[in-house]
Amino acid sequence: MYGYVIRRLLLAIPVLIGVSILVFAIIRFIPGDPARAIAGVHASPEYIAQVRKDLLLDEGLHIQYYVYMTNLLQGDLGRSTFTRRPVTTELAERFPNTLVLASTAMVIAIIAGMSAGIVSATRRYSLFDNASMLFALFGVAAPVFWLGIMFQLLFSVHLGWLPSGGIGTWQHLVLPALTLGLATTALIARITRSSMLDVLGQDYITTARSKGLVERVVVYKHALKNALIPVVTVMGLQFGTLLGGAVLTETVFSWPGVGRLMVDSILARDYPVVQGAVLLLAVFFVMINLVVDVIYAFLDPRISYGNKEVE
Amino acid sequence: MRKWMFGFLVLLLMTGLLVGGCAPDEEVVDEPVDEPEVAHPFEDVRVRQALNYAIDKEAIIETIFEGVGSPSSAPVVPAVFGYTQVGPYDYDPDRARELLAEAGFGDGFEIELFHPTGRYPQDDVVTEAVQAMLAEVGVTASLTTYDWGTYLDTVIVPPEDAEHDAYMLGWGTVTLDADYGLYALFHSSQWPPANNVSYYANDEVDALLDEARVTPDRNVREGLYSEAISMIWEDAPWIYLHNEGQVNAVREGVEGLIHHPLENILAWDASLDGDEQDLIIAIGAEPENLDPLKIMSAPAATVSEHMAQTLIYLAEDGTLEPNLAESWEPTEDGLAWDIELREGVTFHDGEPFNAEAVKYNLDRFMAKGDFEGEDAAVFAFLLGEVNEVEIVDEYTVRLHLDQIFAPIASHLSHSFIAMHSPASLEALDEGEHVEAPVGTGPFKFVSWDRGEQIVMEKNEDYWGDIPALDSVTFKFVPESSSRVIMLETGEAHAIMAVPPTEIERLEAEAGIDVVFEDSVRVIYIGFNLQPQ
Repeated sequence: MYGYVIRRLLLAIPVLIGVSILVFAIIRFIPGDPARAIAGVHASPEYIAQVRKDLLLDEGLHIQYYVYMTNLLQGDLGRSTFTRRPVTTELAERFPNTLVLASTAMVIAIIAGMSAGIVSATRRYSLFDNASMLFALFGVAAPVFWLGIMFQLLFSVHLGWLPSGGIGTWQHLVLPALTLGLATTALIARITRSSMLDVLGQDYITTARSKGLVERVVVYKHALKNALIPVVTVMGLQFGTLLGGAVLTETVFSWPGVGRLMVDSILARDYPVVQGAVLLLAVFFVMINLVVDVIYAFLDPRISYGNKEVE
Repeated sequence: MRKWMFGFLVLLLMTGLLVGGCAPDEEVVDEPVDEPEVAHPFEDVRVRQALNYAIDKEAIIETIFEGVGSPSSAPVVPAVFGYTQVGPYDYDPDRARELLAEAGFGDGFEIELFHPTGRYPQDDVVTEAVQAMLAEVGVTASLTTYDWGTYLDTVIVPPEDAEHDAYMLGWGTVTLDADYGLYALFHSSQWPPANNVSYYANDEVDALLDEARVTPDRNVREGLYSEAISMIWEDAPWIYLHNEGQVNAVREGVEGLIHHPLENILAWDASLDGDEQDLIIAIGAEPENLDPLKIMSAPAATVSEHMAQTLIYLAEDGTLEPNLAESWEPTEDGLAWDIELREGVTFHDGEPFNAEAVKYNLDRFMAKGDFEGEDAAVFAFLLGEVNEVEIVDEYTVRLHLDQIFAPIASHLSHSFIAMHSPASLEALDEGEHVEAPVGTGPFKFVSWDRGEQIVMEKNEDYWGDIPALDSVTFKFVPESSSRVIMLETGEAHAIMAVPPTEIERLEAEAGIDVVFEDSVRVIYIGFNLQPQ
């Protein structure tokens, strides 16, 4: 198991190098002169020259990449061309907020989604099943942006229960987390339901039932653990999606996270920050995937890690 | 394995997001244009005027901007010093067709019209409207859309590299002095890489603009600009479209807010009904920073002006008023300006405001004197004519100029040239820039929560009228409908940049005032006057 984790970590290195090259390339892919784009229409030629110098745009690509990688390995992502602050500082300030938001959304999604899925599966075609699956369809289909504004109108403007945006107390977290988590809730509910139905139809469950086990034990002890494997896969991928989905939610709710930082930076053509944010999210995504794969091992010992026999 | 691919896909999407929009919208038609014997249509002033008559500016404003903004009545907006009303060109397609026929283009012609997307409000929609209206008078415009960064690089080029016949751009005269709006765009010395993108050249206009630069008397200057504007209007190097408008909204019970045409909302004279005097304003974008060296945006100027002040204040009607300077006069030969400073002013940290502080700030801004060799401010070109700041006595500085430059007072009023306590600037670490300004203004910096808000409190020792408000908070709310919701719930007392679609609803709501104000930016379609 440890060997597997270490091997997976080592395998992540080429992926991250690939990510770094891609991120490095983002700014160089832009047609035209990025310095001009950053400096804007009123800029004087002197200032454009200064931006070129700051971004090393006059050097060869290999030199630029070398400097970029050297700095990157030392944890230096450069300075924002807009705020002039170190990119690492910007990200360090914002990333915890995004994590809080995405994690809360994930917790809501897991609790609500799995409960709904399990109940639906055990009471197939009941009123609850149909209602919750209809709701799930809506949840997957509703655009985050629209949903956020609807929540604001209902809970902030009409009912006055919750603040419409910003950060601070737990109340500020409720609407953005619900908005962000709804699609994931719906997805987890659907996956849990179908996976449970699948498992409940298998022979070993029939065996368990015929042994005279109570239904609760059959469902929660025997069926659930096996039914969870696809659910965990989806949760892992969804967490990455939540980090990305936070871009819209954070914008609607003025939540100071990485997603909004990314939007602001793209609008301001602040390429160093965009690079840093994409890199951060990519690294995080890789890590989440690793964690998901390790959780598989716990859930299903049959999953082979290649050299298990040798160990 | 699929998961890695998914990760890459996300990255590729991001890349697409960044470089997106650079592909031309429509295929460039390569068929040879039916060129008449005469030169390019845009070389004939009648054609240029005809295209101005062909565009229904009112309709663009009504339908695309819900009535916000006004048709251009000059190449600069009315708030600018030197403005004269010479337009707008009426919407008269018959007249347009007549003029085209007179010029020998009665059968129409084809042009390449380049435009940006996502830079100016509805820029692509406006260009499409223009295309449709041009078609009405027989002019077929092929549109080519560019992402902003690529766009500037494509149209701000020497004539021999230009691929376009016409282009869309906007220009904000941020000093509210006609020099900034006319010299940069119409003087023949300002062809690309500077901003005379139409390659306009008119000796008489050049002479007027040159003279206005070296004439200290404001009345005389005003006359010169008025004459230049009339000529530029007749010459029609652009299709003059519209002046952008801005819309703010304020809750009842808030008095005294200043809605400035420079897209600022200013709170030092404001007060609230009731005991609580803590004002909250929601704005769309966050300041990049508050350092005169790196400050670039209107939101940053709005916030900065409450804390760090300029020598001269540019009022909302375009007049120059004493601020930290009590008076400013050119010397007899016009090659220097003497600036008398206000006495008894202290910075928020208790440091005195005097000639030394002014020299320190201006030298730093221009990277001159003790700051020689360091990076100058992004907007250092505002003081491009200043070569030395001399301390005459404790409360007088003399700015020495390379050549006579009358608009210097307007330029000094730019909110980016704000005075900060030299001690606070010296305390900055290498590479750091001001984030907590120490100025002389009516409000003192309290905190800046990135992505969220900047809070400032009343300066009890302010040299002018002490504000009625105890604190002012600027909240950064990028999504315009969220700003509207904050106003409705009372989470904000005032909001900037109301989206056009929400205006009607807010106007109907009791307890909310919608405030319309012209901005300083004109939007235009420029002609390529040097077709190759």
